[in-house]
Amino acid sequence: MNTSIATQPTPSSVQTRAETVPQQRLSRLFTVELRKTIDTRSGRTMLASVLLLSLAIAVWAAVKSFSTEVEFGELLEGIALPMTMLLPVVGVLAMTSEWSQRTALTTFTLSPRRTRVLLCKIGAALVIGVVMTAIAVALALIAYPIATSHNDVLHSNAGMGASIVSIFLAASLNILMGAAFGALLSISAAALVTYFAAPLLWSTLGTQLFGSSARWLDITDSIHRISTRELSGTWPQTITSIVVWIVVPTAVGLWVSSRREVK
Amino acid sequence: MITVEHLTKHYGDHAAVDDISFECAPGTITGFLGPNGAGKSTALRMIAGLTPPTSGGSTVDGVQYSQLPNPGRTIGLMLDAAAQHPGRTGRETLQLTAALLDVDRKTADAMLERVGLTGAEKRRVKQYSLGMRQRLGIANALIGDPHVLVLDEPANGLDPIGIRWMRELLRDFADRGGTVLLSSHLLREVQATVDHLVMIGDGKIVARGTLDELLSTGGTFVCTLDNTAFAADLAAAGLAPRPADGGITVDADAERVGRIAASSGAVLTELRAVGDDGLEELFFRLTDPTTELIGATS
Repeated sequence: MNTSIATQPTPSSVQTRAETVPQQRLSRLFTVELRKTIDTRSGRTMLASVLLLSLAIAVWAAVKSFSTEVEFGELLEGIALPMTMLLPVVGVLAMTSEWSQRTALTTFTLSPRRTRVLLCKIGAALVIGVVMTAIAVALALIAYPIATSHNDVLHSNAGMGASIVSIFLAASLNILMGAAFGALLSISAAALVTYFAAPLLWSTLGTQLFGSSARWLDITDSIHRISTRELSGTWPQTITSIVVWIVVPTAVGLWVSSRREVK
Repeated sequence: MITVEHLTKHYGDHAAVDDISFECAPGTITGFLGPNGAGKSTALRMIAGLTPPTSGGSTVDGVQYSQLPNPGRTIGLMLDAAAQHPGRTGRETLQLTAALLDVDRKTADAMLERVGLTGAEKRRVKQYSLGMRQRLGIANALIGDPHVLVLDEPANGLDPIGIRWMRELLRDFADRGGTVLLSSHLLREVQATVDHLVMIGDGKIVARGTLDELLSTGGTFVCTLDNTAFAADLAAAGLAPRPADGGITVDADAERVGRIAASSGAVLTELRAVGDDGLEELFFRLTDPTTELIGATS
């Protein structure tokens, strides 16, 4: 029985149809990934709690009677703490949740160029981070005049712009690092634990083992230096730690993800 | 049009898919049949670019899957009904796909209606039954108006009405010039749905051809007024008759058996291809590792 499947010549209409399909638009892929990050209950709960925490801190700061000088930068740092601390979780989950939900199969059949998809996910997490941080900045701008109107507290408007820039940088770098660990480990729990524990571990253990050389790889310190604008003379260390903790894991994660088997 | 050429996947020393080649032509429904663990799903995942093949490859309309401009517009896939986010509603799920495929958002509602999920569109996928998830998966595959469909075990979880609905949907899709490839381990379902078969066992193709061709290899069932005498006639003609339930089966087509009866004067009371149970018999025979491989190799 040497039979073969009927092999009619391919009708030309089919070929033409394939050629006329337009490329999947990057902007569409990006908005879809952005929507996917926010449209589930867990995503919304996460963002709502960050906002509520931030609002609570802002209210507390506004009504608290300061007895000493209030600096805008410090106030902003406090109000934006939920953003810089918790939004990296959004970065981690953006990269890992599809693997644990098995939706990766649907996502990557609809968009087989996986690196493009994952870059859109990182972009989506960043956009969320920037919007949320902007809300923190707005809250700080409202809370600051109220906080300084109490009594005769001295207040300083100096460096307001710089504080705003650095809080955006700190939040963005934290989110990027979250996404980097998510991309590298692709298991939510493992990536979250590593994101929070590894830099901390290096800060203490690294310093004990390697002394001041450990600074070259201290990402917590680097992000702190960036957000407090104390970079002078530490640029090489800062760049090195960013490459090692953010750029390399992202690159390796994207490379592995684009080759792994989706089940 | 799906073309699979020498597709192979090794996991360590084990060949999950071993050098399979076949084509699915427009206007046909091809059944990819095999027992569990035969390599069906692995092969389908390789066609969809989800699993990198060890060697060989496949194309859709002559294009590698990963090079398709917007795959969902060319080929609709449902490889796993569980691959939808449980926290989204059916409608949200389809709207996301519609956005990605650049088709009208309203298509999502039209699709929900087409697969019979109207009324459930605002419920979360978590609350869907397996059958409903299969329907949602079908809607997700069809929403980009593709002309190729690949479905892994589409009948899973569907009730008899659902199975008939699926059969009609696929038939209609193929009749309009579409190409369908579906996998199944349910022999009856495949037999009623497909017109071409690729049978796979232990990673290898063990038989392929049209359903009719493959069924005829089950031989012919014949019943006469005197079966013993007719068995002797068949043996005299060089065939090997086997006694069967109330008659005889023989490895020859109905025409040959009929001619032997005509020349010997035997009175036939029944003459048919062993169709009813033929596929099942073939299936077990072909996928039994102790029997030799038959059928075409590439």
